[in-house]
Amino acid sequence: MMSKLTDKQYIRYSSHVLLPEIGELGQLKLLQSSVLIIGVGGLGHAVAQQLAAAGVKHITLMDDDTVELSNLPRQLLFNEQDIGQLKVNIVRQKLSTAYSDCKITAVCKRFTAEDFYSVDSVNSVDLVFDCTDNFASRLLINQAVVNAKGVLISAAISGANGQLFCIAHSKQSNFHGSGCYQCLYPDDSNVSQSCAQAGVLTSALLSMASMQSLLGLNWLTSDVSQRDRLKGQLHLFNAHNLQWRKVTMSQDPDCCICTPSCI
Amino acid sequence: MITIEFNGLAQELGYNSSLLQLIELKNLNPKSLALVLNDQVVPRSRWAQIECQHSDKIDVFSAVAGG
Repeated sequence: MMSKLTDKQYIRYSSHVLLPEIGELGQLKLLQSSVLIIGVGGLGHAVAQQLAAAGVKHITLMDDDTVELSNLPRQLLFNEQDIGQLKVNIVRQKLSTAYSDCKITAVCKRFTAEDFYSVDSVNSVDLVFDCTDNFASRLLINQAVVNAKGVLISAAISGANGQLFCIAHSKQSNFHGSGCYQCLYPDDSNVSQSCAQAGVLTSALLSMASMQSLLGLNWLTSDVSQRDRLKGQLHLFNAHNLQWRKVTMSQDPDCCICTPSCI
Repeated sequence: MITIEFNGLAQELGYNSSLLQLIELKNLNPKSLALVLNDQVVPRSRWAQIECQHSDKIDVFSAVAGG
């Protein structure tokens, strides 16, 4: 395990090291962190780039989509030559070249129930980022992270409305208090708003991706007491009036996913 | 009657109105929404049991799943 930055890393990450809340210790934490990003579209490609640039040690990308022409205005790592190719492979190739401290693993598949207990997915990482574009996947990822007693950072946007939160298991309280994604949106919810259906401005999308990345970086560089302040808060973004609002999440006592009798 | 604030606008309600009755009064589909009461999310399963109080600030928003 690294105990100090190399000279090259000091130079490369000097803008982080200068921050009192990060410093050398925080940068070392990033350089030893491992994350899983599920969904490598508008949110996921930008989160992957920001985390790789920040020095996260290992990023696993999971998606089975290929690049399409309609992706190009909002998925800025892709160009016309990439159309038809797997997004995970393109992102791995481009980010590996640009950010040599970061190992990137591309997994060409959708997240499914079989990933629940896979050593290579949610159990072996410090953080899971939900960057998917559909409700069914979000429910599945939430359940997997709760089962694995992991940490989930979930963002979504459609039209002008974005939503972001972090939930995390703690030995003291399980998910008690904040609950989980299914406490917020039970599985019988009507959720039809995707970017493809409702549209989205790239700048609004990338604002959400940046906040999702920032929440992840804050988590990875924080201590236990600081992390308590990061989880269980739902951040609501209105791209029309440029406003963020923070509200406290609540556990549904009837939740079939995260209440103590279910875990 | 009591007065609450619903999505930023004043709304008069009868005494003992539940959160679910408020949603129905507004002709909204409960299954499409999340609800925040005074800056705290209220799980949908609790809406029928919780009565609105004078000066409550209640906001609803739709789920989004795009990425």
